[in-house]
Amino acid sequence: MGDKILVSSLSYLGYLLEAGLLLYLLRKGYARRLWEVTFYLVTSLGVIATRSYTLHRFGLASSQYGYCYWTTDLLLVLAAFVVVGSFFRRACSENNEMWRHVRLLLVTVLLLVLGISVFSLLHHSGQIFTSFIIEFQQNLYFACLVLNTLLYLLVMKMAVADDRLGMLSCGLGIQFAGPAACLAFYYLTGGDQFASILTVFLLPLCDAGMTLTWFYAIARVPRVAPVPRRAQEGGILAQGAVLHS
Amino acid sequence: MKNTVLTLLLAVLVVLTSVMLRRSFTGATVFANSGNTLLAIGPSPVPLPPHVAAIGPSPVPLPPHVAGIGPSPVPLPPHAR
Repeated sequence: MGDKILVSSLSYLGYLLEAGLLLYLLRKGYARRLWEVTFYLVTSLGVIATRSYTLHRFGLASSQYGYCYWTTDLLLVLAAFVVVGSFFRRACSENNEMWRHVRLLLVTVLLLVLGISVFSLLHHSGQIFTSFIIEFQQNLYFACLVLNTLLYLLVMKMAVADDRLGMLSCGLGIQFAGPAACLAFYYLTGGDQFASILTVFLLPLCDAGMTLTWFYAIARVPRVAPVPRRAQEGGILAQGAVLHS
Repeated sequence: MKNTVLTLLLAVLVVLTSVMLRRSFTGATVFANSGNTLLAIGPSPVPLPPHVAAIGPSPVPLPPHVAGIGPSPVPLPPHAR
């Protein structure tokens, strides 16, 4: 009983953090600049409102709730895909050539995932919901996980000036990789009790972790990374050399 | 042209990696979805479904098909399987 209360408290904490971050973005006027974060938070909060209403209206065992749950989950994954794409756009903001290729990559990934899901539907015709909607959502989830890893590597490799981007990508990584790792652990241990407890507690923490990381990135990390002191000195020396010459 | 081909190959690699990850993490295949292999995204604070609570001696019911992103106490629907 106490565990249930703790898990529920952690979950509600996740909602409060999301709502708090959304309010912070609106209050500080960052909502438009960081539109993708705002978009994700609004979608997430809208989804929980829809799920709660459907659960209350139709009940846990109803087909309406089942359809609502997985359809809204697909919406959330699509929103996450938009967020990842938008972060890629930010990372390539100074390199249009790179962005053209990244855009092609994102569109191709989306089409391939769609194609695989349609292929699955062809093998289970008549099960449009379980074989397509859920299949598409699950495949896109893992594609987002891989794309987010690529994004982080790209940010590190290109030394993108926007320092926030790395942190925002890290937050998304917690959101995607945490639950996947938990499920992998649960699967590998064959549903071990410890794995069960760990999973139940870690899942809400992953969401809270993402929101807190985003909070930190937006509130504390400057958008443009400060120039390292050595580089500044190097620049001054170079200027001096030019003056002397 | 060469870069475009490389980009397309990278896209294929991304999708293949994600499918392989899904398979190795959850045991699911592209064609077979079992209830234990689903990942949900987003926070969801509602009670867990009864059939989930029955799994394992854990005092905390584990959502077997929910390694959800986010705090997800919203119960997973049985129809998801």
